Amino acid sequence: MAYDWGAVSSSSDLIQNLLRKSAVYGPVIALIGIYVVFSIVTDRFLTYRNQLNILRQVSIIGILAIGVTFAILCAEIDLSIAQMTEFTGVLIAALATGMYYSTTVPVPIAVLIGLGAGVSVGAIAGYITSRFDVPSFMSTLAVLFLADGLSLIVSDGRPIGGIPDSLQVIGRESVAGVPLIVLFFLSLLVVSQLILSYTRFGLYIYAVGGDRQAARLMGINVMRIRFAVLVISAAFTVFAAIALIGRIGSANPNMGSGLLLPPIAAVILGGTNLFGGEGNMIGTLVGVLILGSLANGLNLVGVGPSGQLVAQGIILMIAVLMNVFARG
Amino acid sequence: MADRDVVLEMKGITKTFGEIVALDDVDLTLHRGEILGLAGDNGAGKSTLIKCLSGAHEPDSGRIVFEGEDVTIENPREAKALGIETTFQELALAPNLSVTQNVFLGREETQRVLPLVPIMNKGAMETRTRELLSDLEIGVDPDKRVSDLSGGQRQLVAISRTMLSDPEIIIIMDEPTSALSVEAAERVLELIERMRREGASIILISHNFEHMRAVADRIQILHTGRDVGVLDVEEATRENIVDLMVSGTLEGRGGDDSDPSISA
Repeated sequence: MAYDWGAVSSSSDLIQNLLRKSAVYGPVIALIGIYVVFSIVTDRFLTYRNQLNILRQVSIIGILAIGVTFAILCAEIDLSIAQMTEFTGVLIAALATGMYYSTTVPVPIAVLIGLGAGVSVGAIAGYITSRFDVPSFMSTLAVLFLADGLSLIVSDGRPIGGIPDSLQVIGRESVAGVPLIVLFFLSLLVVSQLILSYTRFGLYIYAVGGDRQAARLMGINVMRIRFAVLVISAAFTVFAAIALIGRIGSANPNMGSGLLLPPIAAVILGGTNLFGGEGNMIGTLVGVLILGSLANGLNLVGVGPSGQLVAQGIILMIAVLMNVFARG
Repeated sequence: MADRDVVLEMKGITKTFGEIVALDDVDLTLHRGEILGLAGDNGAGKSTLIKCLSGAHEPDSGRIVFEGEDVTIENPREAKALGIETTFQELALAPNLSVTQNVFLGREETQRVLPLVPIMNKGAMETRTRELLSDLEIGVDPDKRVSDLSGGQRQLVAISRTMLSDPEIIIIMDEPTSALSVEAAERVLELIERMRREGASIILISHNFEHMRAVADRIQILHTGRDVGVLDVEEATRENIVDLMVSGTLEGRGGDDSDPSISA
């Protein structure tokens, strides 16, 4: 016979379960709430065209948010994403427009070099954090400055125009009416969620994020996982840079402004535990959509950018409180 | 007993933390298929010693001989690769993962969907965990999160983790019965006996002499970071253990000379 160990305490269990469920379903309920309210207030909100518009507007923040989700799930953070987007963006643009060589570098090669450079710089932060146990908010802060400087050096401080059409495809074209940038974002999201759900690497991110010391004692190569999440986050800045180049039709060393905090806010809005170990990419999608639909809806009813920021600040504050309370 | 097959030896292990000498030239011998108790007061160095074996600490000096060969154990992964499994006092489990995920963590079963993509075989792992838990008569739901389990349940999950691999391994258990109910502690002792029957060699740290005497073959005592004697379980009366733990010698019994079973 199996021993019956009894429930720890059924009433506190119940409360804990409810709170945990609220961390999972709270963001979805908030998103539904936003949709219901704006659908009632304005008939321009819930149209196919406007929904595509929201998706297109959030795609770049969304791509960066996916990368940051990997880091936050592992109890790390990446503060360099905006400047890394600038650096890799101007590097790819500079190579593809022939800023350095008499002949232009073919776009696929330019993209590969950009990816290599982004991953390499991300690896510096990853190595410093995983090898020497430097908190990632410090190592990636250092990379923020480094990438900012590199993007000014690479671009010579000037916008880069004359971007080849093939480099602008993702940010500009559509397939059957759906912007490629949206499909790009959603494909990255799906692949990332599959990695989290079905691979050992994905599981180890949760294990390390939940309790780094226990994960080490259980035989996980914690250093490798911490290194990898920061490299992945850097790789996603390259994806975002490619999408952004097509969207704005050029590259410049300030193209990442405003791209640091919204992705991090979206991850937290999506219910991913601030301290790692819990959350997923679906949550991040919900978080990105909360930010996007709120701004879009307020815009439609005539609330300007300043009012939108206030609303986002309030929503984020509620989300952070729930994030902490839900996990005791 | 002395000619029994030696599976593991630690020789002259010394470990300091800054000014503090946690272990001073400590030896330990583990025979195949035995349960070696490790006793000592708080701060005597028991946990530090086994952490040198499980890869959580690296000794400053000394040798570890495993199956006749010198080995270095720099991290827990290397210990596991040798077949040394540990359940730690602070219960190293991932609180945010399920029982199944904890049982398999670090050695997940995978299958390939596309030639190059290995994915976890969740179904197989859950089935295997269910079998293991039911075989060990542990009534815990494999899908439950570890953070929702009681202390006793967590201890049993930690033990079942060690039982997943090859049974002929070395298992180190640091205070597996502390903070458990009487019933739960008895379950754990039964499991320890069972693991030994199935071929494991076990080092057991405990503050509870009765638990240790119930299952151990020999009991080694540490005193302020030094190795002060090994008693066969028949000689390991409460008084003898306490004497060695407190003073480092068997007072009034002739001290070291007549100490019956000090092994090298």
